[in-house]
Amino acid sequence: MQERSYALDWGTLMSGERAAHASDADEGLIARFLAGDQSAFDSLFLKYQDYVYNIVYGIIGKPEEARDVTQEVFLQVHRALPYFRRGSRFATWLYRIAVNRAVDAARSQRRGRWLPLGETLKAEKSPQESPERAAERQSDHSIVQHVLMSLPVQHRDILVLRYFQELSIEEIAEVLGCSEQAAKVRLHRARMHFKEKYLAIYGREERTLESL
Amino acid sequence: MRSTDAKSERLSRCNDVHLLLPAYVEGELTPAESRRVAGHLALCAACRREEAQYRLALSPLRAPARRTAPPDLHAGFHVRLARSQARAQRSRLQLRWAAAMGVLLLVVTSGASVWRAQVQRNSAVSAPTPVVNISPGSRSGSESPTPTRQDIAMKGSAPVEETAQDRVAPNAPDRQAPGSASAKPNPKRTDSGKPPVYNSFLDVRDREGNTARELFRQRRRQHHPEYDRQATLASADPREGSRRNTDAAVWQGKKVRLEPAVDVRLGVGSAVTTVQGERGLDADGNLALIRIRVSTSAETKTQTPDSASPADSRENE
Repeated sequence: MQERSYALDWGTLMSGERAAHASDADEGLIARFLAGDQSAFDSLFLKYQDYVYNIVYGIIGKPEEARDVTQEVFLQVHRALPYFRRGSRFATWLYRIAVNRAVDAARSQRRGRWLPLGETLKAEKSPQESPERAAERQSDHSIVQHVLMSLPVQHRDILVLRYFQELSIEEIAEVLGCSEQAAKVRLHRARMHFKEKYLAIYGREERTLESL
Repeated sequence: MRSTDAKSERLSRCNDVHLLLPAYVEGELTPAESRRVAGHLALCAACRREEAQYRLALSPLRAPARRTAPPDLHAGFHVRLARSQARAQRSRLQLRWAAAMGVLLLVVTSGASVWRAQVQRNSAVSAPTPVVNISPGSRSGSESPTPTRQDIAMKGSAPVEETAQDRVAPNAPDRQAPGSASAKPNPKRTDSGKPPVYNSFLDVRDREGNTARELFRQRRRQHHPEYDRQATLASADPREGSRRNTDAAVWQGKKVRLEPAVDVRLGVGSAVTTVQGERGLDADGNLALIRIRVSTSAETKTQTPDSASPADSRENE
């Protein structure tokens, strides 16, 4: 499938040497798109759609809205790509747009605290993973999303970037447009907040299980 | 005392460790920082409990939720892209259409203004110069050197002198002197052969050649003869050519002495508008009459021996 041929491994898109290769490849695709090759943009879309969808989904928490916002992100990228500053990383720019659009959408929600508990996550299952382990991991994802949706947006986005996209502090600071120190402080507060919410929701259940 | 210091020192160290605990749990600290936190955790049960809570809460986050995008994401994007491009093209077209309409409107309005100004200029220049009988030949003849208002009015449109009560636009069609009801000029054409320019609906003529102003006066004469008599007296009848010479008028049966009060001349382009005000004083010196005369004329630069300037014509009137 064409889609698979552009997908990279999770968590390696912006880190280390492969990020540089990805950046070079992106620049080539961007140059082709600016020269009028529409298929180059399709390649960029297929390459990054899962990453963008995950960021948006993690912040919004609703699959339908996440799909719409993801499409809007790429529409904005399609319009603004001629003005993209050459030399900067396309992925950073794309993630920044995604985070901003998702945060705007999340803030515009009247009832943002919503959890799609019934949604089936299409988790990538490793061949050697047992069904029990897969179910447990899926349950973890639901819990994480539930707790995330109880957090303020400014804590949600940084946790999504750190844990869903596995970006470094430097990359997070670049995406969020702040200093590394500010990103560290924000991440610390987000983790603390997440722990409090997690323990408030699931701590009692865990203690009950331990007492058994 | 010593125990208090030790307690506050421990609390301070606990606060420092609390700040580092999430990063310690996630393995993001430098080796030196990690050793310091681990050393404190070995001694402090409260911080160990905090560390355990962080490990418990953050462990689900470490397994990233790898969602794949919906299969129709790409197709839906293309649908929205086509819609967005069509909308953008439509708005561009609308913008161009609006700009074209704006330019067209500008051209039409400015062209109309230029055309109107041109027409006005042409009518002012081509209007027949009032023939004032002050030529050397006629001066010694039997003709009166001072033309009557009717002479001027019937020969051309400029200058036209009028009272405020009887104001008519300078380019209005031929005007009829009071009392000469039999004069009915062609309502369709002026003497110059050009269509009349009406600046007031009162000057539009009906099929019989009567203007609304004349019809109004006829009605007024029928129903309010006293007003017509008073108005005639009030105007001191400048058309009879006696105003400048006598400086006197009769107002409501009393003789009043006229004094010039205002004399203002405004020149715009080739047109000169003169406003002259006079006041009439009765025998006791009380103000009995105010009369305002407004005249408009077009200054002509070329003068022929048989023509005189409007100023001359006014002086001779």
